[in-house]
Amino acid sequence: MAYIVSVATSTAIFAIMALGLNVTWGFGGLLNLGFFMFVGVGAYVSAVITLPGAMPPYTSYILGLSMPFPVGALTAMLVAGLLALLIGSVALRRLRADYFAIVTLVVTAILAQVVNDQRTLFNGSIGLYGLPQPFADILNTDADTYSYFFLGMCMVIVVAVFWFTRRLQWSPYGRALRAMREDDRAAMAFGRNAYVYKLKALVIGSAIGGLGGALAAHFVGVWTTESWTIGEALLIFACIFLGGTANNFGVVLGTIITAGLFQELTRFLPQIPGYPDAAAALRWVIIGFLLIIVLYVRPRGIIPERHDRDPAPLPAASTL
Amino acid sequence: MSIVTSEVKHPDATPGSTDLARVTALELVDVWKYFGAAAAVAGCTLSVADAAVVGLIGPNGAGKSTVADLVSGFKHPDKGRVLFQGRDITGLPPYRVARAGLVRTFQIARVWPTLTVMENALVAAPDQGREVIWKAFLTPRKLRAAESADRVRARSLLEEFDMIGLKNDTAETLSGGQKRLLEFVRIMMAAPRMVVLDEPMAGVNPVMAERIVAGVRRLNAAGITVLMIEHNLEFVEEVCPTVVVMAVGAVIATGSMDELRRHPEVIGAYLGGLAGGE
Repeated sequence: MAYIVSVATSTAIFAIMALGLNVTWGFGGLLNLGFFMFVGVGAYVSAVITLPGAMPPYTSYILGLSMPFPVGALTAMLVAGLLALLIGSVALRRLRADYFAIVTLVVTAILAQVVNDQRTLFNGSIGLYGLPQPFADILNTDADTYSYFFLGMCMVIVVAVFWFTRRLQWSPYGRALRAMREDDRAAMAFGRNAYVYKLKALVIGSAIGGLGGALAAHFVGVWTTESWTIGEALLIFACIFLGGTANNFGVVLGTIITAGLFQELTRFLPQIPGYPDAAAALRWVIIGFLLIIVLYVRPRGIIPERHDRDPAPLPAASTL
Repeated sequence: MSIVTSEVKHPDATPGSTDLARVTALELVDVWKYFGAAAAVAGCTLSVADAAVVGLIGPNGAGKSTVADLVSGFKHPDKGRVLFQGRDITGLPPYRVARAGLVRTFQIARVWPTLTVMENALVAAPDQGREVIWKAFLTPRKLRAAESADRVRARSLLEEFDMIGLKNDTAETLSGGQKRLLEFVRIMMAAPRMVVLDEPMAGVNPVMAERIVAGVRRLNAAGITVLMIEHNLEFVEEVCPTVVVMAVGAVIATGSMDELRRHPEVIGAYLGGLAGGE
């Protein structure tokens, strides 16, 4: 049972991240290959806000404020959003998809290297350990009950993020953003500054990613540079492609299938003697195959994007 | 010429400009644009009267589409000035040009494919502060009320253009001609003072041609000045009392199609294609 709760919790956290990426990629059409950078930054920021001060020479990191988790999570969102604003204001200037994708990828690689090498920042390659469990001091329960509480908290956040991004998608802003995803020149010809709209989408999506990162770090209790590799970033894209780009229901379903079922079920595959890594590698192969099959059969995902329906009835003598 | 332009609110428009603004909608003054060493537009000077329908024709490579880009801010001239309603708009980004009241279309009908026909119309309407994110969360009712006026207007326009039955279909499912009609609906929604149409007949089935002609007339009837780049000369003759001819980046003649047929330079530019009839 504890295992199932743990899988459900990590799936919920992945769903939060995927819903965030869906704002930038699904609604805004921004191929944000650096999405996991914002997740990672959120994780680190929340960690150093909630952890007690570093103890050199054993550990070395900035801040260490021993603040409660909500402060850490909110700061994580804020910093991730600000970083997105900074990167986006440069990378989105030209409004070219390839340019943006490459810049985000490169910045992620550079930042990962800096965090890894600069021990004074987030304890370098050793990473941050012993992150406090959110609200554990107030609840004061046993580990089993606490795991249910943490799952519940993640579920509530999934619902909140789901509601927020859904409303965003169908708002006038979201409609203009979706138009720019298709053709930003045409949107500019109708008086919209596509750069600003897309920058906002990037900031919102990244802030949600930062929140997901904070949750992930406190769930595991550990965060290192190993935790954010290109693999995780692609996994979240896989969740979206599989379930249905720009459809929140699809994104959550895609996350359950990819992050939940396939990541975890393959653990039960029989061990191949002499190849201890086979199961882990096979997981990626299966996800890859699944993705190819779905994209072939349903190019827009299992549950494709929905369309706004104008509620007014058609006039009786409609000629078409 | 009626002076009713003040009825439509354009956020970026500067009121109280010169008298010239009332007669001249658009003016290009010695505009140059180079691509590398070659000048695509070389000293182009032309003016479009307010509320007129002006055709812009010329052989391939004359620089017509570059002029459309320069006027709408998608490209910026290397030399010369672009005046709109008497106001210098040279160097403004495209969205500012549009907000000043000058909207354009493209050679390929650029509808937003996965948005519905209705949504296409709604995005084209002036923003008027509705596309502010927090309003969708803090004052959703007010936002919906403000939107409903646009929806009513969009429905009546879609009805007028015979497209109301398609309102909930995505734009990608439309034919080439229907996409052009949707562009007219979008322009009507945007309610600009002037529109630059870049080859509105391109990609349109001849069956739909009459409806495109009606569409251009409808825009003009709404008080919108039209500058129309077009290759189909019959169509140009039908809807444009005044036609400007460009060749090698500059204007070589202006007049009615009848006059232009007898214009030696125009005949030369087209190698007799104009005079010989279609």
